[in-house]
Amino acid sequence: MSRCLGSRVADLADGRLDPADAERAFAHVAVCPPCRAELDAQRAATSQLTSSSSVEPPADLFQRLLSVPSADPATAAPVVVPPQGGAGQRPAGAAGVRPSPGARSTRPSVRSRRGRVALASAAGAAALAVVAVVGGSSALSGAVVPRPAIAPVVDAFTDEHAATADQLPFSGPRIVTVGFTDRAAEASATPAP
Amino acid sequence: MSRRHLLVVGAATGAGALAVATLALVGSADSAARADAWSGWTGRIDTVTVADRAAMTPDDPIAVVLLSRSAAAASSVSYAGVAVSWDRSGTVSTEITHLPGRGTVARPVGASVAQATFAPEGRSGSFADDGRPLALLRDNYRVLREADLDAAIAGRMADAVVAVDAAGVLQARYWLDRATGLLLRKELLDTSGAVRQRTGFSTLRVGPQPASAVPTAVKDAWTEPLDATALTAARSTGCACPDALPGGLELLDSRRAPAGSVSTMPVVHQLFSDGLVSVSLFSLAGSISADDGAGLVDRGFAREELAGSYAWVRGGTEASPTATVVWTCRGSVLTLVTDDAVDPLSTAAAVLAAFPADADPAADTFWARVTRGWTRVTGHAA
Repeated sequence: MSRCLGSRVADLADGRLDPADAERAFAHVAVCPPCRAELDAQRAATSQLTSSSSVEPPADLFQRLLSVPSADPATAAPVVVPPQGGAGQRPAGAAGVRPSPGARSTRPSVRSRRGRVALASAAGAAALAVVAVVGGSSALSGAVVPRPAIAPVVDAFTDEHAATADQLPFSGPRIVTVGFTDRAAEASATPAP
Repeated sequence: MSRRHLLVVGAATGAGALAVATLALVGSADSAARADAWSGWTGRIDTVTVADRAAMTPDDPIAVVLLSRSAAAASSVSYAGVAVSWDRSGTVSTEITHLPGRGTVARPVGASVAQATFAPEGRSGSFADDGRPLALLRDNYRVLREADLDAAIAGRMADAVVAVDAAGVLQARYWLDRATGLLLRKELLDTSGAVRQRTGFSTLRVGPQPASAVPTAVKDAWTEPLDATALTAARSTGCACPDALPGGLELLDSRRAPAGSVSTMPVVHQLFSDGLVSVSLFSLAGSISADDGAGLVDRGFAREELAGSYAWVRGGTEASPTATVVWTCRGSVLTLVTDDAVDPLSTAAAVLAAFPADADPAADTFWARVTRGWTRVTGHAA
């Protein structure tokens, strides 16, 4: 078996490897469960990032970001594992052995590392989801803004201005030539029967 | 990559994205569209009158009498004739028939009956009593009798009256029928003293007109006059509805077209005047979609900057004096129309300065928001 992909798995997931390297990498992934699981995790994270508009930012986002362990393991806060079905859910089919409660090893398992990467990625995705929410001004307003058609009525406005202003004392007949022929069929002058 | 590196990178990515989101939130446009953005607004803005009234010399009393008589003539004199309107865009001749109490039928000479338009009398009245337009003219200009300009127009002898602004610059000339007081001709002048717009009768028959010449009822969308109380209520539905516009333009008429008539939304039309020129402002709750933008381009509009705001603009030039300007402000789509202002686009710009356009959605990109947010947080341009 060839060497594991390591950090190149991200390049593979993002399609940044040239065709020959990608072919060799896929050949390796086919026979290497850890690399296949890593590739699945990368793809899941990428998918969540690109579809972030459908992700609701968790209410405890900020708390979870604060709880990400610092560089010093001695002061590291416990990692809050996202609930099943949440943004950090592990991809279906990924292999791994669930450690028994309280049996945290001083050397993190591959799954634990993947989970933390997924958590961090999910936090980024959630933050981007906040951006998506912020990016929609109508959503920000909390109101459904009606969109009446504007363009078709502006000529009717010009007619209405002329008809009304004409009646002011010291006014005079308006020159209203913009689209007159087109608008004639819709003219308001319709004698009663 | 080590576990520690992965954690640091992941956490940094999340925190960075959160920071960017925060900047985007801080930098988001001030004017999020809200249908009730005008609710509670009093409709009052700071207005700047054209004239320094205290500095103006008194009006010529004879001119005031002639104009008062003319203002009342339209509601008491029947007439029919051909009116010729000229400006630098061209000339239009219109057959006009007027019956007091009923209204006025106008049809371009040579056009079919189907192309006639009818303006029922009283369309300019919800905020104007009989003397209001003259009062506005006297407030903003000085009116003088100019007997040297008396002339025969459409075969009838006319008395001439002029309006000058506070600086003494001639702005308009009026010729009033000596027998009935009807306005026979009006000329508006530009800043150089040249005529920029002229309307008047080429032929005129004064006297009873056949009742059949004017319809007794019309399909008129603008059926609902709005008083001050109704305007306040309209503001709560997302319409701007100001009480006045910059430049001494005061409200003369306000009425509404119900939903489903002119637009799918109710539209409020307000007519403002300083006694000499008139400006219409149409207001409806909503926004301008991309399809609307394309439709406006098809109708001759272009996106232009006025008073620091971007709006859709058509006309307002010497070749096409009628200016129509469309923009969104606080969740209202506003359309300004004026066809007799000295500088229509300057008039529009003053209104836009009072009612700034919402941020252009096309320019309100994610990175534009982040940049604004960075500038607001740090005080420095990104």
